[in-house]
Amino acid sequence: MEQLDTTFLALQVIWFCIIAILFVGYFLLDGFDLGVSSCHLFTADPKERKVFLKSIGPVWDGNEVWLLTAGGALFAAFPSAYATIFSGLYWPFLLILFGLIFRGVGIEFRNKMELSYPNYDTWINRFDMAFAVGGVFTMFMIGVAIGNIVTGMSLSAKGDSIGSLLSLFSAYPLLAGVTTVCVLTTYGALYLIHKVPLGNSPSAVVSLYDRSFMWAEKSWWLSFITVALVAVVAIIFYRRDHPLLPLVTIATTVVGLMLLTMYHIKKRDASMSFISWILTIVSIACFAVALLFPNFVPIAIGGSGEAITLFNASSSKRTLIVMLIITLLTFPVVLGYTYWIYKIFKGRVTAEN
Amino acid sequence: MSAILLARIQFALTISFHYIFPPLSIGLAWIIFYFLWGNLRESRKGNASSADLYLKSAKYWIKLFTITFAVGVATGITMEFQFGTNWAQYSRFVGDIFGAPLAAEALMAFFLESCFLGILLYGEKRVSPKVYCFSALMVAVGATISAFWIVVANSWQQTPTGYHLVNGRAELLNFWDAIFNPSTIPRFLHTIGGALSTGAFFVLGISAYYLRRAKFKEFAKKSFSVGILFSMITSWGMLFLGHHHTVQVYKTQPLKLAAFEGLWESRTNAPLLLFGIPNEKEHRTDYAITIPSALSFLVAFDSKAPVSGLNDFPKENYPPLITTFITFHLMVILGVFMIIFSTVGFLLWKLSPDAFLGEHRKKYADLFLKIAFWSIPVSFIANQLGWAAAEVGRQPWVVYNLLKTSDSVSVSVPASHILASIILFSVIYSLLFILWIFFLRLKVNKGPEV
Repeated sequence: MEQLDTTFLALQVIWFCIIAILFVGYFLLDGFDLGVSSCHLFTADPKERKVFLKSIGPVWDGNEVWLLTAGGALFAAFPSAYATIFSGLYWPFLLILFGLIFRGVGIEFRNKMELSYPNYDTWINRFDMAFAVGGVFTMFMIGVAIGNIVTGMSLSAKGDSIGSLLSLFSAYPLLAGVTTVCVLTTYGALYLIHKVPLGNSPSAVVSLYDRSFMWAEKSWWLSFITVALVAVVAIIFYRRDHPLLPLVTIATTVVGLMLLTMYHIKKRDASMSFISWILTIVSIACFAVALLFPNFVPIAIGGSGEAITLFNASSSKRTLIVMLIITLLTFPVVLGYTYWIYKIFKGRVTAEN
Repeated sequence: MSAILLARIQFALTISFHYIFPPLSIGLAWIIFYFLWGNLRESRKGNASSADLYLKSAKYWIKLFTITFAVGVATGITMEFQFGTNWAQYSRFVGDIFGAPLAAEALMAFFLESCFLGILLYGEKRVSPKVYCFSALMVAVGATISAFWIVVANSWQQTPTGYHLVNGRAELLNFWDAIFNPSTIPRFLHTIGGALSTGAFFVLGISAYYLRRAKFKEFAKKSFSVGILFSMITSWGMLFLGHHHTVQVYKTQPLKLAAFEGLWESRTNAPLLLFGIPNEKEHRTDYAITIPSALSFLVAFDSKAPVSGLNDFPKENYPPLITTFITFHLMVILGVFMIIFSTVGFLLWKLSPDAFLGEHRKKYADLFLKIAFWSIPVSFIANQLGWAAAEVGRQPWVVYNLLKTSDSVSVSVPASHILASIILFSVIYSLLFILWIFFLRLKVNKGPEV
C-alpha cells in the first residue's frame, strides 16, 4: 500500500491557502477600483469622473496583476483545476477578459486624449463609458464564474466539463454576479470617501464626499440583501457534505460585519467603515472557501464525475516546494514596494494639477 | 472547421497581436531609462539645459511607452487565460513545469513593472529625480525579467529537459535543468535583442519624421542620434545572437533546421540556400541557389560538418514546410536590411550631421529620413516572422517529441463557440489596434512638451 506522504499533503493544503489568499488579495485590491467603475455611472460630470480615475490611476494596473498571479499560481500548483475551470467556464472567463480590456483601455486612453482634438467631450465620454461599463461587466462575470464553481459541474472521466456552455448563465450564477457588483460597488464608494476632495465641486450642490457616503449606504442595502440570499441558498443547496455549524458561524460573522459597516457609515466614520467592509469581503471569501474545501470544482447536483480537489489536481511535490521557495523569497518584496507606492500616492486628489 | 484548427487560429491571432507590443515596451523602457540616467548625469555636472533635454526626451517616450504598455497588458491577460480556456489538455500535461515560470513571471516581473510604472506616470512630483530614474530602471528590468520567464516556458516546450513522465504528464525532476534547458539562453538573448532593436528603430523612425518636418529640432536631433546608434548596435548584435540561436537549433532540433534551410538530403559540406522553394511532393528544393558548404560552416564552424536533411525524419513529423521556410528566410532578409540600413545611416550621420538638419537637407539625407520612418514596422514584422518560424517549425508538436498540438485542445469547448470567440477577439483587437495607432499619431503630432 502506498504510504501517506504528510509533507505532500501539507504542501497541497498550503498551496490551496496561498491561492485563496491571492484571490482574496485580488478582491481587496482590484475590488475597490472595479467598484469605482459603478460610481462612474452615478455622476455625469467629466470633472468628477476625472477625480475618480485619478484616485485609482497609479494603482489599478498593479491591482489587476493580482488576478494574473492568482491565475498563474492556480495553473502552477493545481494544473488540473486550472484546466477544468478555465475550459469549463469558457464564456465567463472570456467575458471577464473583454471587460478588463475595455476598462483598462478606458482609463489609460482617457488620460491621453488631447484637449485640442475635435469632439473632445464626446471622446472623453466614450472612454468613461468603456471604463465604467467594462468594470461593471467584469465584476458581474467574476461573480458568475464563482457562482458556477459553487454550483459545480458535470465532469468526464478525464476531468473535462460535459455541461452545456450556455447553462453557465443559470439563476444562481447570475445572482452571484449581481451580488459581486453590489458588494464591490459599496467598496468602491467607501474607497472614494478617502480620495475625493472635501469641498463642493462647482457643478454639484452636494459634495462628492457626501455623495460617496450616500452611494455606499444605498449599495450597502443591495449588498446586504443579495449576500444574504446567496449565502442562504448556498447553505441549503450547495453545502454538500460540509458540516452546518462552521458555515452558519461564518455567515453570521458576515452579517455582523455588514451591520458594523452600516453603523460606521451612519456615524460618518470613513476609516472604520472602510476597514469593516474589508473584513466583510474577507469573511465572504472565507465562507466561499469553507463551502468548497477541499474541492476546486465540486460535482453539480445530479451531475456525474469525480470532483476536482486539492489532492487530485495538484502538481508534484517537487514543484510545490520550488514554488513555495520562490513565493517566500519574492512575495515579501512585492508587498514591501506595493505598500511604499500606496504611501507615495496617499492623500486626496483633485481634477486639477 | 474542426475545433483544433479553430483553437490554433485563435491562438495564432491572439499571440501575434499581443507580440506587437511587448518588444516595443521592452526596447522603449531601456531607452527611457537611458534618458533619465542622462538627465541625472547632466544635472550633476551642472549642465541645466542638457539635463532638461534628456528629461524632456524621457517624458516624451514615456508617453508613447504607456500607450503601448496598456495594450500589451490588456492582450497579455488573454494569453494566460487562453492556456486554460482553449488548451486544457495541454495545461494538464505541462502545468507541473510551465506553471512555475508563469507564476515567477507574475511575482518577479508584473508587479515590478506595473507598480513602478505608476510612479513613472503619476509620481514625478512626488519623488526625487533619483527615485524617478530608479523607477524607470525597475520598469525596464521588470519587462526584461518578464520576457525571461515566458521564454523559459516556451523554450522548455521546444527542448524539454529536467522532467520525467508520470501518469501521462510531465513532472519536474530538476528545476535548474528545466529552467536552463538548451534553448533558454539563446532564445532569450535573441528575443531581447529583437525587442531592443524594435525600440531603437521606433525612436529612430519617429525622430526622423520630426527632422524631415524640421519640428522640435533639439529633441529630434538628440533622439535621432540615440536611435541611430542603438539601431546599429542592436542590428549587428542580432546577427550574432541569431547565429547563436541557429547553432542551438542545429544541435537540438535538427528537423526544424532542415525545414528552415530546405535541406532534404543529410550530408557533410551542406550548402547554404540563398533562394529556393521547397517542393514537398518531390522531396527537393526547386530553383535553389546555394553557397557550397556554407551551412555546415555556419552551424558548426566546420565546412565538413554533417547536417541532417528532411529525408532522415518520418514525414508525419514534418512541420508545415513552406510556412517555416518562408518565415525564417524573410526574417533573415529583414535582419540584413536593418544591419545595412542602420550602418549606412550611422556613418552618414557621423560624417555630416548637418546634411540631415534644417530646411536645406541633402537629398540623400532626406531619403534616409523618409525610409527610416517607413521602416518602423520592419523590426515588428521581423519579430513576428521569427516567432512564426520558431512555433510553426516545431509542429506537429506543442511540447517537442512529447505532446502533439492535436492532443492539447480543450474538449469541453465546441468549434462553434471558438468561432464565436475568434470573431469577438477580431473585433475587439481591431478596435485596440486602431486606438493604438490613433493615440500614437496624436502624441507624435503633438510632440514633446515645451
